[in-house]
Amino acid sequence: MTTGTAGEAPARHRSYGELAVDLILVVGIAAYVLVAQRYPKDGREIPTVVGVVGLVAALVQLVGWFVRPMWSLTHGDPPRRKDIAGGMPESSAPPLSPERTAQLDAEEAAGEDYHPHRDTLIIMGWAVLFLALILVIGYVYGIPLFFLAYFLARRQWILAVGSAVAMFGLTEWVFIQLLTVPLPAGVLFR
Amino acid sequence: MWSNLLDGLASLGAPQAVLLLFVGTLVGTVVGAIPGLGGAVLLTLLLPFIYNMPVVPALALLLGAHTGIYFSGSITAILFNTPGAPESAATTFDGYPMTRAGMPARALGISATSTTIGGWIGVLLLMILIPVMDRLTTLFHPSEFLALAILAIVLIGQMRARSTTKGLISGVVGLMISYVGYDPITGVQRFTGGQASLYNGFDITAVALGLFAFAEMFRLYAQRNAAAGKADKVSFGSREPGTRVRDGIRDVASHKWLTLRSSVLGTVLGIIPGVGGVAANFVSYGQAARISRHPEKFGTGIPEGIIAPEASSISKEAGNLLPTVALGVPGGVGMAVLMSGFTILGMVPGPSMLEKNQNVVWSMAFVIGIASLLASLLGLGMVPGLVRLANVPSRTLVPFVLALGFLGVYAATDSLGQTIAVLVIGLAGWVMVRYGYSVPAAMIGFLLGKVVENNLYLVRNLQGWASLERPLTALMVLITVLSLFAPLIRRLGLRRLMRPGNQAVPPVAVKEKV
Repeated sequence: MTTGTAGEAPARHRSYGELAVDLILVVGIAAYVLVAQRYPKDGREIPTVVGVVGLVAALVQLVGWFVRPMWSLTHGDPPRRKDIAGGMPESSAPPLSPERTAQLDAEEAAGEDYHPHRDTLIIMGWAVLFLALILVIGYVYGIPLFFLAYFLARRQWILAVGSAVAMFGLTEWVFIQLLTVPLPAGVLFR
Repeated sequence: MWSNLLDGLASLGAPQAVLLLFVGTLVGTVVGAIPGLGGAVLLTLLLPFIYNMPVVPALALLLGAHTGIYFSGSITAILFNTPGAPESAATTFDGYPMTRAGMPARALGISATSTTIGGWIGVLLLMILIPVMDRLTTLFHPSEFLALAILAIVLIGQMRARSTTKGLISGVVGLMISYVGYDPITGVQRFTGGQASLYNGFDITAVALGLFAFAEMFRLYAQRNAAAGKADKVSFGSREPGTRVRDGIRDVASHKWLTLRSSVLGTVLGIIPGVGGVAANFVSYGQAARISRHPEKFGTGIPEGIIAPEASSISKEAGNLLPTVALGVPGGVGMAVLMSGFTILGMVPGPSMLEKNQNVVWSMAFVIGIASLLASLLGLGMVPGLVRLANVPSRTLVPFVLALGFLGVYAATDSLGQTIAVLVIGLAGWVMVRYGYSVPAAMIGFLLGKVVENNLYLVRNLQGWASLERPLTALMVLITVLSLFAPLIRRLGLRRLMRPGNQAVPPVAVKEKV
């Protein structure tokens, strides 16, 4: 979803994902304000004030999708040059150098395997798996098992074994023995 | 003041404080060379380790790491044109050209010296400003604290969000999250859904790790390593005159006034909440170019182009410290995470900190100065190693950060619920970054939620609308409103200037074709 009219600078690329987030925010904040009404007067006052301010801002944000003059207020100006390959917005990331950007553009043009959205979903999946391992078999076994699986999936055999051993050592000897943190054993070993 | 100053300095002489200052600076210097792992990410990873530590050593660890990041971030900026931290972006303008001219060691010498001197000038300025701030805070009533907290959220929201409304929403979301859990006024459990792990609300460590470390790792995994493949292309071995580290030190010595001016500017900008490190360094670079006798040479690899941003980068951190400890309002993202550290250590940032813990404030100021020198020395000594570290693929580093995050949050909270929360918050943080919301504003909203609630409660019960008649409160409210609507006002002003009737240059007459 791109927007813009002839003769104007190209408008910023906006996506259905962004619209979905804006909708979720409106619904979520409205729900927050409604839930706050269950609490005693003094307890609900501040969350209600804050929630109403947020709800107004979120509604203005949503209305901005359909009212062009509001775009600078709700969706910002058109982007500068694409600093991060894949079109992801800036965060705290350092910008790529012109040479590196040119190299990445060349790789993309040559059909190299580079899919930032897919890669993001992959790492999120790994993170969820990691947490699941910790919850089921605990930290002591879950962490080295995760590293083994992660680096084996990347066919980095030496790193898989080395990191699993190192992280087992860190977990057992630094966190449990040295720092005396009572790490849980997981549902399976409880 | 002097007794607190000496007490603060003496506290740093304890063996544990010395050790942790060194360890923190070393960790910051090493990790700061890795793109994506500097800044708030490293600080959040260190938070779980400071539980049950004495105050000064714990702060020495955090601030030492925070300071160490800056110099090593400049190393990759100078050598690879890839800033290790956003604050080093302005250093690339002349640092990288100097490297390409065969003088990387000289550029690093300039950076190291400027950083060290900038840090100490910032500390000296704090010696003047802290007593002033101490007196100023006695003028603050609840309405001022409330207005300042809201102003900080709005300013920082504008700094990092794609639009005004997104910045505001980000801060509000942070505030909303902070109200989960036990309400100290009524004793009611709010928004917990019956979950025992949320009775005390979301833990600071979980929120900080989720928003900064986890969200950043999700983003970093999908990004190519900008410094990859460049380690072998830089050589430091030249002994030719004019190319060595000592030549860089001489450069700084011959530009004393520029170094001083940039350091002072950095400190002053650092005091203002919402003026980020990136802005401060660009402003410093800009002022140096403007008043230089040969501005056309900026960008070609001249010493002034490195001195200005580097001197201001650490001095800005000294400036950031002031509103953080004196007013309880973080001056920047790093200070927002540091405030989490204060809370963990049982300290309440704000006027009471200057009153009861001024010696700790002085310890922190001296840590910045000492760590800037230590980071420069360590960094210069480890350059070849740091360069190799910058080439480590991000996909290799990400699982380690996730593991440290999961371990750290459980170590800090003893709660699997908070461990689950860190992942959920991390996912939400990624969504925020992806769609242009401000993660720092959300974090600051979360940190200042109780400040806003308590002071709003006091204002309502004690001052009411009369609080707006107080000049300081009215001024801060005005600045807040202007900050919110400035982009819109600016855009309307530009549109009016661009209308055909307002053109300053008359339209060119078109000759008719015959």
